[in-house]
Amino acid sequence: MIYLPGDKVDVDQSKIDRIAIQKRDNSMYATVVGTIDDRTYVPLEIAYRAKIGDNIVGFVVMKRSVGYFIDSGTAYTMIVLNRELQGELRMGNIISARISRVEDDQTVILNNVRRLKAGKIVEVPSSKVPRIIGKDASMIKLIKEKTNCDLFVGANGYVYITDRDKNANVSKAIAAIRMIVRMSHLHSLTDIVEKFLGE
Amino acid sequence: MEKDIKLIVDGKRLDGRDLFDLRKPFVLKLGVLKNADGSAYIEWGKNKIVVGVFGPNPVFPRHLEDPNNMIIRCQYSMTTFCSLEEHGRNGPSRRSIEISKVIREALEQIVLRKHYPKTMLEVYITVLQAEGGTRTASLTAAVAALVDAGIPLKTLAGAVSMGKIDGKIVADLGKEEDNYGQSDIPMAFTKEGDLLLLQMDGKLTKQEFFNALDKGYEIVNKKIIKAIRDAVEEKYSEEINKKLEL
Repeated sequence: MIYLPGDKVDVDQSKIDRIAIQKRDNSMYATVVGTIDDRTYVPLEIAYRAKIGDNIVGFVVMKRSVGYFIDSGTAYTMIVLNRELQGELRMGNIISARISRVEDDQTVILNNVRRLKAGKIVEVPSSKVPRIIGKDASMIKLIKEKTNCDLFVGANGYVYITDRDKNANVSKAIAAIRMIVRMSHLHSLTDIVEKFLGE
Repeated sequence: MEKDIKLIVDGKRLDGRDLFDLRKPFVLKLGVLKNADGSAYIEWGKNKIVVGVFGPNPVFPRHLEDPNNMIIRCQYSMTTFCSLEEHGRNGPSRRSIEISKVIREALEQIVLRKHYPKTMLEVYITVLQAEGGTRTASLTAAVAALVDAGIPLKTLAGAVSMGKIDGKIVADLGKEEDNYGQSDIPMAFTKEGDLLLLQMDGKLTKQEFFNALDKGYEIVNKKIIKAIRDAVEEKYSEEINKKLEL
């Protein structure tokens, strides 16, 4: 069963996502397309909203006295403060970081910054990120193992891919990620991807 | 000259439709553009329209941003080859600026803008082929594209144009009926019946106007919103009932 905006849904009160579900007159209504799994609403499409603790991937785009501005492909201005850093960053560096604070003016402050070596970034919708990671990270482990690549999935929808050695197949890893996005609503996706990577 | 044209003959309209039938084909598809966050394509009679939704993105220029809400920017544009009147013209016109405005104001009523403050949502509507009723078709496709983009909406909405030809209230006017009819009333409703858009030209009695409004809501609720629902279900048709593995 698929729910559309404005449809009445019966979900667990304690686990509601206040963006995907709207309360009106003691009833709950969906605001985005989704399904219900174990009385939890699972959105199939939702625009990214920053949450404290999310791990993101982004590029360094600007340096100011306060710190570095990061392009994350979202509506937020993300900043790495100078005091969070040991060394220096350069324009175009790819970093992974954790969201430590979301200010009222929609500025996001990052910590736990890690510089990643040169690699590729694949953009995916942020609502598909849980599927790319898989249950207990099973999907991402599978892709890493079969293609000899290192992956880092940002909650903002940037997937960072780099090769481990000369046998790595980066293009196959990208194709697998594109396939997961296309088929994200299907059951037993791990088996489908395993079959694809085995070819 | 206008009196010579009969738009209703033996209870049937020029293209053989009954009074409250919609034009055919009616095709709505989601996710047609790769680079947009959400997109929709609608074919309604001879109208062919593509809608792309981008965002939420940072607002540019920055001084336009709203500290409490997402702002919506909507651009309706007709291609140079879409109809005889627009032949060879390019860029915005008085008409396209007006339609962009009314569609934007309709969308502002259903988008839950408070969840994405200081951001901007862009809705680009391109009319590839026009045959009357493009603003209603554009609004319907824009709502479908917003659903596809995962923008939180209060509820679904749809639009239809009602009108009066040869003294009778009819639904979904075509080009000739629009040009030679007595009145044209594009209207948009939410699923619950809230009015989002209402424009009118020509003359109607009060009773005829309210009849058109009631019938318009019935058509939007039973046909247009159902078409959006079918389009979404078509996109996720396979094995959706099985448990998700998250």
